[in-house]
Amino acid sequence: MLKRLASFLITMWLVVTLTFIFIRCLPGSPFNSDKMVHPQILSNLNTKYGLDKPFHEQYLRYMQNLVKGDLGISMIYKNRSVSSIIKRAFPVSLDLGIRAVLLAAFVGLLLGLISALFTNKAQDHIISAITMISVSLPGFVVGTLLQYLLCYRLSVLIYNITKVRFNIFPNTGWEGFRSTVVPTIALAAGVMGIVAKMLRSSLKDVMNQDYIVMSRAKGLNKREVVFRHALKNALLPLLSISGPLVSSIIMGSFVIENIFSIPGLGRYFVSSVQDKDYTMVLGLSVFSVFIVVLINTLTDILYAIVDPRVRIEPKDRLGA
Amino acid sequence: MLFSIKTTVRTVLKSKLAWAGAVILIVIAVMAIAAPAFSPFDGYSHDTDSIFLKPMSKGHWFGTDEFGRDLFVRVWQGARISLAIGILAAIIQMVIGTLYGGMSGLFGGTVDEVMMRLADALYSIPDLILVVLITMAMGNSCFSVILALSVTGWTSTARVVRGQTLMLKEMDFVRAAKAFGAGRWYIMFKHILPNCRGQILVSLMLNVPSAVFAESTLSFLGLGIKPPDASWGTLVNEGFKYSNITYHPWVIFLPLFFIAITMISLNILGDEFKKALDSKH
Repeated sequence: MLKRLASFLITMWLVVTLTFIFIRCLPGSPFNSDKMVHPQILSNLNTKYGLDKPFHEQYLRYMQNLVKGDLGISMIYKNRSVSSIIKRAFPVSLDLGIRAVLLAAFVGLLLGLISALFTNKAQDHIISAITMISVSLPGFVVGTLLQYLLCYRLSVLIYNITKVRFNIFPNTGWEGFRSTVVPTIALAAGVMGIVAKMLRSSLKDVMNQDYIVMSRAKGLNKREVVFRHALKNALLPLLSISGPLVSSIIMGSFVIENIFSIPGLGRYFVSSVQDKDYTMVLGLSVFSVFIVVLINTLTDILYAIVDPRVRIEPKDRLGA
Repeated sequence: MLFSIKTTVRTVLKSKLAWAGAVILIVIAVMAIAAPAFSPFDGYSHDTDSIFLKPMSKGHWFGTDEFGRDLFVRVWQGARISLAIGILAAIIQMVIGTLYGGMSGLFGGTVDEVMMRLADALYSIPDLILVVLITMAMGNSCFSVILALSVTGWTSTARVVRGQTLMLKEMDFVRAAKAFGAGRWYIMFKHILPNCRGQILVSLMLNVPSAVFAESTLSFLGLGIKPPDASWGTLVNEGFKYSNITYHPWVIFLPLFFIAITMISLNILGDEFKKALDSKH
């Protein structure tokens, strides 16, 4: 436990420091613009944002503020602090993320289960093809396709049939349940495939173990064996990758939010990169990484609680 | 346990799916290399008389975009950039990961512990964020994108090679070499790494699609390759910016289609390689 906490802190420190160095090495300044600005104004701005101080002093000050939870203020939008943006945008991203995680887990587990129950039958092959495709396609491909089909084509179809203009699924925005459906599916698709694939292969492994063969031999039917005995153990490997999966959902949401114009963290991240809004990029990166690393650590701990073998095993968790 | 690349490739090519994937990739690669040279259009010059032409009109097989640029040429030029970045980044990741993992496993003890903690820390950071930061710091050239992907993507290879090294270094032939007075580096390059070939090859095959994935996502967000140069991701991004998906769907869907089949083929091949390696153990 203590070790995990230590590695959590080390990772966060590493991230903050690296990010800070990167951002400060960037060419140009956020105050560069096409307009001629008086040098005095520029230097006043630099003083206001502390950019005239030596590098290590900026670093120390940033770290101090960070520990207090202050991520600084935006360099482009006056009087807008990074924390206020996070406060506004994170709930939206979280909402989208939770929906996607739930959907991905539910559908993924269902598909994995079905394909393991029907190994090498038609159902299995179809599901394998679906998971292969959904794992392969980048989020923006899925997002664009779904937006085109479910938002544009579907309303065109409805118009052609009923002559009523009606968007079942609005193509942008984040208001009301209908607008959340397509982004959630798009975001969940990739992870759903991974979950299905993992569950299928781990169920297959478990089904070959002696105690399963034994219960089959004593006459329990397959369904019973799968649900009573195999499933529990087959879910464990999934728990071990749930950290990386959640982090891929978070990164995926950056893309999906941009496609569907959802006002979440990802939108702000991309636009602040384009604006060269240093403090904003720095703050949002640090915050996203914090969330990801936190979730990784929590699932690690959870894994150790659920599976006692992890605790007894030698420290060589990395070698796998 | 010992591994020959030839037999693995042979095992892989027993699968029809792998064949299909390989053929698709070869066709795309050949087109990427050759197609732009055989087209009368150059992919950069604007032609205001023929903007948003539909595919197969006026000699533009894939139609034209918002500036009247020929999409056939632009898509294959995009293929060049996307594939070149993916492959180069994966190769560099392989080299870094192999050396790092090999060293970590070979030295063992505290060195190993520290090196793997660092790799773990790097692994837990979402690569998109790191890549964005690096490309921000270095500009949006192909070089900086490759560098950024290489810096972030090597950890999985390192883990695999380290695991294999830990196992190999306890084996008799390595001990014998040690007993004869072979140095650490000699053992690493002569005995350990050659016996990691299988693992290294498989992780290379898995790294290519993830590099292509990362690059196209980055460019799609407008944070990767900058116009007028264009990877597939950039083409889709530009398509969204300048054209309307309902009126000019081909501008967006053509590059999207090629990304999709490339990614699927790469993943199928990677999967088959992994299976071939796993079945050996």
